[in-house]
Amino acid sequence: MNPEHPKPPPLALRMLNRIAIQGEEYSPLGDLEEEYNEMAKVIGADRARFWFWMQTLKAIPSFTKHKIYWSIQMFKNYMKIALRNIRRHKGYSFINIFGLAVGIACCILIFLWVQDEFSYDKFHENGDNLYLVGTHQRLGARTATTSGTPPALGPAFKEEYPEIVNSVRFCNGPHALIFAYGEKRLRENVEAVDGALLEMFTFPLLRGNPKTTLTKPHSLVMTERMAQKYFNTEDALGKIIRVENKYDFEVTGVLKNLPRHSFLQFDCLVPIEFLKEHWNAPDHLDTWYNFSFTTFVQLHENASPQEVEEKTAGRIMKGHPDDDVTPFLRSYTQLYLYGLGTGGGRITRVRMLSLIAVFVLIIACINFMNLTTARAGNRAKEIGMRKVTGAFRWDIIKQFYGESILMAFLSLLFAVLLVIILLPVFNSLTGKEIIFNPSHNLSLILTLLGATLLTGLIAGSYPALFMSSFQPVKIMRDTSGIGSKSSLFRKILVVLQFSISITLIIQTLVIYKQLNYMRTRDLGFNREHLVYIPVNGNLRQHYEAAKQELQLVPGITQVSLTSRTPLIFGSSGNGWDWEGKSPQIDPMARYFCCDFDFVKTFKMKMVQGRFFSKERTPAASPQSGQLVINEEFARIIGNENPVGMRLSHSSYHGTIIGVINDFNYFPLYYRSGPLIIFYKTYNPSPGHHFYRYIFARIRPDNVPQTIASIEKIYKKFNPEFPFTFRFLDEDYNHLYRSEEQASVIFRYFATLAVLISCLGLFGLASFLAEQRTKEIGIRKVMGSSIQGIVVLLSKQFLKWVAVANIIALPIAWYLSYRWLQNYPYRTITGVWVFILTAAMTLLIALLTVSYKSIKAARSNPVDSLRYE
Amino acid sequence: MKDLTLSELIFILAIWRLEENAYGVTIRKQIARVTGKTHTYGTLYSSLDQLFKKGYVTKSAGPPTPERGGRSKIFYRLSPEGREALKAAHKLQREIWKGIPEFSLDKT
Repeated sequence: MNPEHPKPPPLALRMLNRIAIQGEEYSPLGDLEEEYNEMAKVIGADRARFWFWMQTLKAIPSFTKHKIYWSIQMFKNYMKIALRNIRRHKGYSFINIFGLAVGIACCILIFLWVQDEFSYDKFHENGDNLYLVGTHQRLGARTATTSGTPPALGPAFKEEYPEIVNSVRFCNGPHALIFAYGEKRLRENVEAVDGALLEMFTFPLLRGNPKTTLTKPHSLVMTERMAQKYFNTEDALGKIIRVENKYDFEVTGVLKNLPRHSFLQFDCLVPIEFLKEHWNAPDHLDTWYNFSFTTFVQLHENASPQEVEEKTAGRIMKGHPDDDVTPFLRSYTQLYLYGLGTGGGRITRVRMLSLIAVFVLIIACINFMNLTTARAGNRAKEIGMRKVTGAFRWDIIKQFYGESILMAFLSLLFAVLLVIILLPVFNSLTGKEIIFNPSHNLSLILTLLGATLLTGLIAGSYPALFMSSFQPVKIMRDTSGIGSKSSLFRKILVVLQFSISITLIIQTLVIYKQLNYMRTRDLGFNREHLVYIPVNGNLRQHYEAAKQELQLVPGITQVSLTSRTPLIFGSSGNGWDWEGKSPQIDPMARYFCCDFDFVKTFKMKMVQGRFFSKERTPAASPQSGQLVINEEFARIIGNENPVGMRLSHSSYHGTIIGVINDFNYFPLYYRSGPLIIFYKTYNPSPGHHFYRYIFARIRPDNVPQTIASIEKIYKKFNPEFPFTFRFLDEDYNHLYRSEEQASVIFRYFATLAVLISCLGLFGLASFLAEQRTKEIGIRKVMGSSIQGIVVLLSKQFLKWVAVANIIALPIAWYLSYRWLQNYPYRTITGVWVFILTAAMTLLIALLTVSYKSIKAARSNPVDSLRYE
Repeated sequence: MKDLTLSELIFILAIWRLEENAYGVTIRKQIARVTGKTHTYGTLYSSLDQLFKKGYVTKSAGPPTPERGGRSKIFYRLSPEGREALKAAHKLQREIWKGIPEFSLDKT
């Protein structure tokens, strides 16, 4: 550095540089530095430096004012140009804004949905300390993870471990009981629970004392909604309500209606002790052997769940030494989204939809980038002018970013409108009650503004960085090459866009196919025209009489009594033994009980041997009985002819009399494994209640009359009970709702993605056709045919879409393969899905492009060549 | 033509007096010497800018010098309009002060 010219303080200089009036015609910085140099010579560098700092600070207000004034001037100009551009090119602007708006609207809807999913179970005061106790059961090499725990576990945990403050048991399984009050007779879902429920969970009572409501065995807590149904405006507290025409319950508490965002949902609660009376089994709640209870525990605030898990690891096996079962804890607040943590759960759908939202937004952003860069040529002169009159590169970048952010915010406005219009539809699609209320939803506002800004920045980044690099001289001389320079980038973007769309289309088709497969798969029995009624009240004693009367109804062909329906399959057990059994295997077999007519009523097939029959099946005893197994069990036994073999379980010895075809006795989410069918019951202890349903196969004609006859017979036995009946195939139709929803949602979003992509393609095609107007004119003059030109113009677009297909098909195949692995019974993706998708996208692209191409090809060459 | 304000007059007179050598540093010093008021460069340049916009002065850039960190001086000269305005102002000042000796301003 030259010692004669000491430098002023660099920090101050930098500050001045940032804010000072810049440009050729101002020189305050030079002036200051000159004076500083002079002063440094006269009064010394230190004082000069002080002076320089003072000058800098003093200059700040007026410099800033100047700076702001000019940026406002430039901003006004940028705004004006941006708005003029939007107005001048209405078509392109529409494509840009509408595409982005749809993308943003998708994101808002999905954001609202995700937010709703994440807002479950946030209202419990002890929420962080509540855990579900689940169990891992080791079955050979496999581990079965369930939420089932034995009823003795809850009280034992609370008593033996100081970290566990409280526990509550729920009894699993549907408990629809008949409630009667005055004239009202209705079926209600009852949960049998421990009284601690109301202390652990925050379900506030409107009436009654949470500590004492469920202490008496015949006390009952109901929600406000249910209380209103039975007692209208009267005070429910202290009212006596009759259940199953057998027990009198006293209402001891009224709950505030449960929030929608609660994982636990119930209408009324009874004490779990009631089950002893109801099931006539006094020691039922003390056993370590029945895994059909759900247990929740509340840990002490300072307890760590890992430590508690370690401590309690051997507790179940202490009471239940036969099996390898370990309990584990699962945070209650995560239960709704993550389930038991064994994969799946609602979180999969949350992730899938979020991903779709991002994809749709990317597609919309790509439209914006493509159209803006393609049309860069049209703006090139403007950029050249700006640069010539003194704009820096940074100014151009700012201008284009500003423009894309402006577009993004315009889109946001439309998007909000779209959301308001579409929200009811979306709610009914997803089964939610989401309200769009940005003013009460700060995180929504912030996300919206943030996402819009980000969208603007991403969408604007390529045009801004690309166009600002133009050299004025080149632009002014020749503008034709500019749009095509970026064409490789555009090609990649279009290919990306279509790849995403194609993937979404294939997923949609695969989900639809799987849904269809599940609906129509041969279940191994005929589910059509099967009506069933519950065996309750007096029917429990008189089911045989009822069956005989039903068989006489002309519309009914067969009647069978069963322990379960094919969709609610109950107990299971392992530990079965047979001759030649290898010690490594111990199959978990499902149990099913029915009478002689089951196979005929359900139209099933016996593969080997015979089914139970009146003549050849004696009454079962605790020591012996006849058994029918399914093909799966026969395969496990491994004997080619299992008929006549003995199946033993401790002191019980059954004889296999037949093998029934494998039928699906579970929803198709689960594999239907080995099965043992008992005649009447697998537990021949006296008073054991084994038949729960009467199934009747009816003729397809005159159904209402048949139903009326069934009702008459039912009422004859059970005058106090309301008559309820169901069709089995209807049950199946309701079963796959979550696939149905996923299918519908995917269909909508895939359509949207394709729509937005095509919008972009349309914009691009029309722009390129416009650019090539003269070329087309010359070609026509030289004798080219219309078809030739259409092919010329459409060819490249089709090539891109074809490339997108080549890229997307393997990815989509892999994704659908992964998804289908979730289902034990799955459809094959099938080549035609890919062929159809490829053909469909090519056709759509062709239609989109050909409109503009044909229009361009048919134009009169005189019009396009007139001006030169 | 509008009359010059007092501060405009001060600036224009300073530039006129400095003749060939009127740029930021000298103008600021000149004004400080005459009026005792020091301007910051912010206010100085916005005032100069006003004069330029009204057409009283013209600007031209000199060669960059090392004392100025390699920046050019911007020289200000009076334009013909500026000269006219200065004359008019001088005339007006003479007229309004005519026949008023300084001591008489002390009278109450």
